[in-house]
Amino acid sequence: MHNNESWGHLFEQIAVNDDTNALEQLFMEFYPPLCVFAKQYIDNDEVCKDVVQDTFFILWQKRKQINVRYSLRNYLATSVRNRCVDLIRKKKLTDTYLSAQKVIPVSSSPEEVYSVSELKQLIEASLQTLPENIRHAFELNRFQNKTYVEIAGEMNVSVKTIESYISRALKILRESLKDYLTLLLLFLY
Amino acid sequence: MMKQEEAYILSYIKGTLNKEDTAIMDQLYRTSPEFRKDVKDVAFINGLLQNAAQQKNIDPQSGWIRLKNRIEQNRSKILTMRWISSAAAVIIVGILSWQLIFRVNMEGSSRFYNTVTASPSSINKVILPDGSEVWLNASSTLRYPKKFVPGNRTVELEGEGYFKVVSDKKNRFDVLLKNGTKVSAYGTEFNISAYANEKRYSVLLTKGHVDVFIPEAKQTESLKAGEEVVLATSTTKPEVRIKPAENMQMSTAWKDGKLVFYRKTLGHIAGVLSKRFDVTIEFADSVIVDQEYTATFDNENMNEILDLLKQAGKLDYTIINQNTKDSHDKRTKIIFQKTE
Repeated sequence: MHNNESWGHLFEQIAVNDDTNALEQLFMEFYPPLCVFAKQYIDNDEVCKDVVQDTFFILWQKRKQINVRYSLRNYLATSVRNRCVDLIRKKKLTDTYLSAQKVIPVSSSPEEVYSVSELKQLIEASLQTLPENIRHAFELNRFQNKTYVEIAGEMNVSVKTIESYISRALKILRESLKDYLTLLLLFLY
Repeated sequence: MMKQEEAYILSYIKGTLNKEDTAIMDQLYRTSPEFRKDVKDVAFINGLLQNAAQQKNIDPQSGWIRLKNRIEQNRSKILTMRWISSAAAVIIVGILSWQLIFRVNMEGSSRFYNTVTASPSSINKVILPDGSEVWLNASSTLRYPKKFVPGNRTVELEGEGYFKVVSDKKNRFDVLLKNGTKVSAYGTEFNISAYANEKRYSVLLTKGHVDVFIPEAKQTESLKAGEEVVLATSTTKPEVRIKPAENMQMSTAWKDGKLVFYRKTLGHIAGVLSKRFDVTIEFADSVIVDQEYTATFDNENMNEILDLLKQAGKLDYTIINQNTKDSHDKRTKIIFQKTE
């Protein structure tokens, strides 16, 4: 993942120069994805936020002792997961919820923590390359959760047309995310 | 449209297909490896998109403010010393018994002033005419009048000194440094580090209150107990920073004869040793300069310290006596090299 070098560099600033601005940058990038990641274990927003905060606080306190230049993402995700598992084990929560998607089990590996800017890069850049009508249809489906039938009605085309638009969009995304998909393959098999 | 098309797969993953279609897809999934790959790819993309959507609802701003406050609160507590061993640091403890050597080397005693220079390897304690005490680190110089004039107590320091100033509200105590910086107090304890060949001066306040006047920056900084002001001494742009002192005990331990290093690089340690023992230290291998050590030396002499560093594992040294050579620098030279 091409951004690991720059995260490592940011961490260096934090560890060597006690740079809280660098910490803030890191926080802004990884707080949202880590909260989403924690949600896989604990279905309580406030608890998830606390867990992620604690992780960053410990990162700051131990900045001069840990060596995570090249595996910052792993460290963060593993810390969050361990905290969550601890909390669950200690039964400090009365409701825990492990989510599972219908067909594919959710794997909670550290590689699945994508920072805010990484996601933007991965998805939005690809979506921008789509022709206007296809992108519009795709966005209605993905971001507004509209069904193919509803979208067809809105855009005044047939349902089949919408289906072909969606397929086209997914094909293009598959193409541009090729590298990530192969990586995924390496670890699923 | 073929059932294998991505749009259908997406619906399959989201569970919005009807029963028959779902059964068909399940069958395909079981029997076709290509189809499985298609499903996994689409699922991945779907996962990414869902992830992005969920992230959009989370605002890191308020979380950051909470974290920042937590860090600030933690900083203002006074730190206790913790010695932690890790892969990067080696802990060495000097085992020799306590010996403090006082060797006064007075020079330049004029009619009205005394100048005291602590010789290498020694810490000097000076009692001033008003009863104030000054500890001088190795190779540091203090110049003071034999009698203080009424209204003011002024002394001059070069190097490092720890001051314990007798309280006298009518007579301000001033320490003048070579670059014009002036540290003023009425009765308190502080540490000044102002070596001529170092890029930074620092004033650390352990008790009471001091004012530090910085001529190049044209400003006066006030310090509270536990604070340290660090001045970068570049002439073009003096940089002034006040920060909570990292560890007061560590910074002032020298006056008790100790050399204290906590995760300091060999380069830093070499700098301290060269001042303390008045030697030149060079590195034959640059790779060892950044090795970190954690150690306390309690009045070992130079050879003992070098041996301890060598025993810690990754360092070897050579001592060259330059006195016999026709060289400019007659000081002993020590060369640090990595072990083979």
